[in-house]
Amino acid sequence: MKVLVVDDSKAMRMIVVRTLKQAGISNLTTFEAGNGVEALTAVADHKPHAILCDWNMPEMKGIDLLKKLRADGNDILFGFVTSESSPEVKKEAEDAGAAFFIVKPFTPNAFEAALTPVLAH
Amino acid sequence: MCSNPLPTLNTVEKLIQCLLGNQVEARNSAPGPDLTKPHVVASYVDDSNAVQRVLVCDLGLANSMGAAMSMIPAGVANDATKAGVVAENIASNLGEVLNICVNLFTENSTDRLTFSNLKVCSPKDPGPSVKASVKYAIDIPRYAGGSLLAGSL
Repeated sequence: MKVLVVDDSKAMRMIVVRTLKQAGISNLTTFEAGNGVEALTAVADHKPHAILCDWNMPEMKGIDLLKKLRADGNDILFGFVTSESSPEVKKEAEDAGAAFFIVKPFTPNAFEAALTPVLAH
Repeated sequence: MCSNPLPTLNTVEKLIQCLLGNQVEARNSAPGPDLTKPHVVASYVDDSNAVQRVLVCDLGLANSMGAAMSMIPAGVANDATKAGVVAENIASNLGEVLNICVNLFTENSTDRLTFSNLKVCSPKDPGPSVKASVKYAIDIPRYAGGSLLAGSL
């Protein structure tokens, strides 16, 4: 499974990748991007199966990346991994087509709980 | 007016353990950060960009938290603390730690807050005056510990 991890913190990208492995995601190949603009290039280059994305980033926020992908007709599996936790933000994410929403800090169990149901489809 | 409560000892310990490892310990600490020395102030704003909550921490603890996030050696953090700065290669990590720490203030509250910025303050360049606060000591294995204050303005 090819997963694109998008976060402006290099350390957080590393932690997300490590947590994906700890959550037991099989056949995992990861790619990284530091913001939404870089992510669009990475999507075109690597054609990932899923995107795990931060909310607040420079250049292009995660929600704007998701809206751009959907507007372009791309229905890639997309979830947020973010420090945002308000109900308004979660609803905006769902309305835009996010499949899951993980709040930082997180555990491997949180990844497993969020990803297992959506990966089963 | 922001109604988000200040974090309990348990909330602080759980969040920092989740981020930096289960062996992190937090305990009540009456004096709080030493404001006569350089210290870090993180500001959290509401949707109208007004600062509602702050975290204040000893510079040593700030460098340690940033370093521990990606296992930067403790010596790098300690050297930066002696120099009175946040190390360049720690600053980005510290920003992310403090960004995530917004959730110290959002537990049991629906009011949205976001991390605004961090600043190294000192007696010559003080941070904002805090009305109410809670103070904890944080111990991070293999790194220098220190005091943390969570406050409302």
